[in-house]
Amino acid sequence: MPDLYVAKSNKVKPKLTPKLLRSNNPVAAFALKPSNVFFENQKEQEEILLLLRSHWVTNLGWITLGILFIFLPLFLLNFPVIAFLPLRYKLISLIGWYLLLIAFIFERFLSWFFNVGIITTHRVVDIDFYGLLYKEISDAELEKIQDVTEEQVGAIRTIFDFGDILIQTAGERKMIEFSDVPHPRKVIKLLQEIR
Amino acid sequence: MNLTKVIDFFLSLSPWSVAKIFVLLALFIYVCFAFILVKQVYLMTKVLYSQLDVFLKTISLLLLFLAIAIFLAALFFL
Repeated sequence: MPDLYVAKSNKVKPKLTPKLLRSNNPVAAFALKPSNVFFENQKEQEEILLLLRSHWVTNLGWITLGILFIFLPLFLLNFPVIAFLPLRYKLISLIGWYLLLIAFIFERFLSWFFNVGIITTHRVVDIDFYGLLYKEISDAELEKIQDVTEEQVGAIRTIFDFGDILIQTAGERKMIEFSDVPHPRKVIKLLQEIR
Repeated sequence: MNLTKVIDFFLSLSPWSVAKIFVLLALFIYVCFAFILVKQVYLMTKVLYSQLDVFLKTISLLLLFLAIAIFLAALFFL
C-alpha cells in the first residue's frame, strides 16, 4: 500500500564523497586524498580531496625524446662526425651531452610534477610553474565557483579519458584552469558534491 | 697597443686551447643552471610538499656536485 504521507528526512546530505580512497602513489596524476601532501598556505582544518596533474600520456613526447637521445651518441659513433676530436674532447662531448639530457629530463619531470590542480574541502587551487623561473598560484573558495566546464577534444583525449576543466569564479581571478587532467567528469562530479 | 697584445695573445693560442675555453664556459653556464635548479627545487617543494621531496632535492644536489666536478676535471685535465 502506498504511503499517504512521508515525513521529510532530517538526514543531511554528506557534503563530501564518502567513497574517496586515499591515494598513496606519489606520482599519481589523479590522487584522491593524497597522503603526505601539503601545499603552501594550507589552512589547519583544510584537507586535500583531490590532487590533479596532467595525464601521463602528455609526458610521452619528452619521455620518447629522452630515450632516443640516450642512444644518439651510440648512433653517432658509427659516423665520423666527431672522429677528428682527441679522445679527451670526445669524452667531454659525451659527458656534456648526457648532462644536457639529464637536465632536460629532470626539468620536464619537475614541470609536470609541480604543475598541479588541488581541490580541498575549502577551495580549488591552481599551482603553475612555467619553466624554472616563473610561478603562478591562484585559488578560489568553493562558494565563489560559478560555473564548471569540461573540455575533452580529440581522439587521444577521449581514448585516455583526459581533458581540461575550466572553473569560472566570482573572485579576482575569473577563471581557473586545470589542463589535461584525467577523468574530468569525476572531477566535475566531486566539485558538484562539495559545492 | 693593448688591443694588439690581446689580438696577438689570441693568435698565439692553439685551436685546442680555444676549444678548452669554450668547453669551460659551457660547463660554467651548466653549473649556474644546476645551481638555479637546486634553488628552484627547494622553492617548488616549499609550495607543494610531497613524499618525493627528499628524493628530488637529492637529485638536484647530485646534479650540482656532478656539474662542479666535471667543470674542475675539464679545467685540470683537458
